[in-house]
Amino acid sequence: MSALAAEAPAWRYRAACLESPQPVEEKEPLTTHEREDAELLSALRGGDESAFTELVRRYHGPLVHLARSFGAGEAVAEEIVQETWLGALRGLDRFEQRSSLKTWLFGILKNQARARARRERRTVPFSAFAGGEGSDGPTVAAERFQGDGDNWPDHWATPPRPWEDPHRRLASLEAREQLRSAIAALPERQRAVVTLRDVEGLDAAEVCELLELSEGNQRVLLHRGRAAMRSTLEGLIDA
Amino acid sequence: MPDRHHTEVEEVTCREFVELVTDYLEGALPDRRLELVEQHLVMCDWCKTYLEQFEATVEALPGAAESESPSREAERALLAGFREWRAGG
Amino acid sequence: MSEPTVAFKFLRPGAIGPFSGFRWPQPEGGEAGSWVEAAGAGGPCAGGVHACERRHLPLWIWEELWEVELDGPLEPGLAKLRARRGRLLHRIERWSPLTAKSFAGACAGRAAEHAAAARPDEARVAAGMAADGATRANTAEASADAYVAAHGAAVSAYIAAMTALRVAGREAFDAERAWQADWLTAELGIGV
Repeated sequence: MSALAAEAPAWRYRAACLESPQPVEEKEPLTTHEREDAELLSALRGGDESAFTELVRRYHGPLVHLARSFGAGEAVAEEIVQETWLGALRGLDRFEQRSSLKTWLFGILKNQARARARRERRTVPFSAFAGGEGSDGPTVAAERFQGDGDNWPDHWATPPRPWEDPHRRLASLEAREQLRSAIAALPERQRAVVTLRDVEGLDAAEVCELLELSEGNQRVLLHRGRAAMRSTLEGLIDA
Repeated sequence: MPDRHHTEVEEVTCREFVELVTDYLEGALPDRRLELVEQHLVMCDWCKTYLEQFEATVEALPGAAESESPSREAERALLAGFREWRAGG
Repeated sequence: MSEPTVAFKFLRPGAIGPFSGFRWPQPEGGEAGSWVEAAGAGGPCAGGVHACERRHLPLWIWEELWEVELDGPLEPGLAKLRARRGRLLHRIERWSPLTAKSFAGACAGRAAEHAAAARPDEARVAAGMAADGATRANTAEASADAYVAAHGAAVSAYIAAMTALRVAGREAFDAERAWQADWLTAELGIGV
């Protein structure tokens, strides 16, 4: 309410969350990506080596990234991913395509990661499954808000300054690097949730299953991770 | 002097809103709370800005996806594993 | 079988829902806009089509104001109505950036009145609140932007209500909101 930025830009329309006249009953058509996956899988089942190479090319990075976000070091992550690919080949017959290929691969990786942790007789389980939450408390520093003696307690004292053309700004190569660093700096469980939900695009149910989290817990971690990311970006953009 | 009145009216403040953003975006807010968030957003430009920045952050995150390919050595090992599997090994 | 209900709805330019981004079908050739049926639960626009009664108009201000018809059992929220389906009847043209600016100015005046009645130990804060109201009303007044005008009105109304609350408590707050709703009803010619 202060005179700080008396003129704020008009709030853009939020992404549509459509109230459709009739509910959509039929199954949604496959995306291009899903179709490609299905074709590759078919070819792979037929023993096509180039299909295998293509799948590896497509999913190796995300798998390594996931293993890292479970807390594995670089070398260990590579080993876990190797085991994951081999495990996927062995389990190919049993994959019924009820989930996406990516989700299925991630599930295999998780099992590999746990098996490894058990083999190494770790008493502390893989960190994504315990601890690494980061601190409690507000996701925006308390001093950003007005206090009891001010005109508007609990309203912004230093409000966020609007970002100019965020879409373009955040799509630059520099920004991507900054995003990766910021993600890597998150506490482990937040890192895992943000990676799976927002970077890899898995849905909430899939992530809850993979990370063995309740819905509520998953949301808290997602929120804290996202808030931290926003804050980091704010620091970079406002700098 | 503490404000003895401002707690008498139910509202979501800015301080509260920033903690509710993900619940809001996920559709996980109960009706009453959702309505209070909406009432707040009607008149608070700063929280609208915060929400936009939050959404922009989320939209940008797929850009951080890792697309590294395996090393030559790893690829060789994988191909060996594949051929072994194909041969029924 | 429940009766259709007439209520009101503020929308963004182009009859777009402020939270859903949904583009409402507009009335054409004297016919009301087509019925919109709410989708299932989940998501920010969960479970219903929303509108409000006159007394809650000051809480929901955006650029356009529409008279709407709701159908089906009504679920009252805190300051809104929810129904299974609704349609736009007609645009209330008298709600315009000019009206919004006028309303903002009126609310700024109200905030100043409330502040003037503050106890000595609260006078400074109350004056500060009212001053913020004046600033927002002036910003709205000076702008050619419909959003700035509408938003100025929304904020100015909030400030007046909160100043009343601060100075004289809950009853004064309710009375202020009622005054604001009456002002809008009279000015827009939408009395019962």
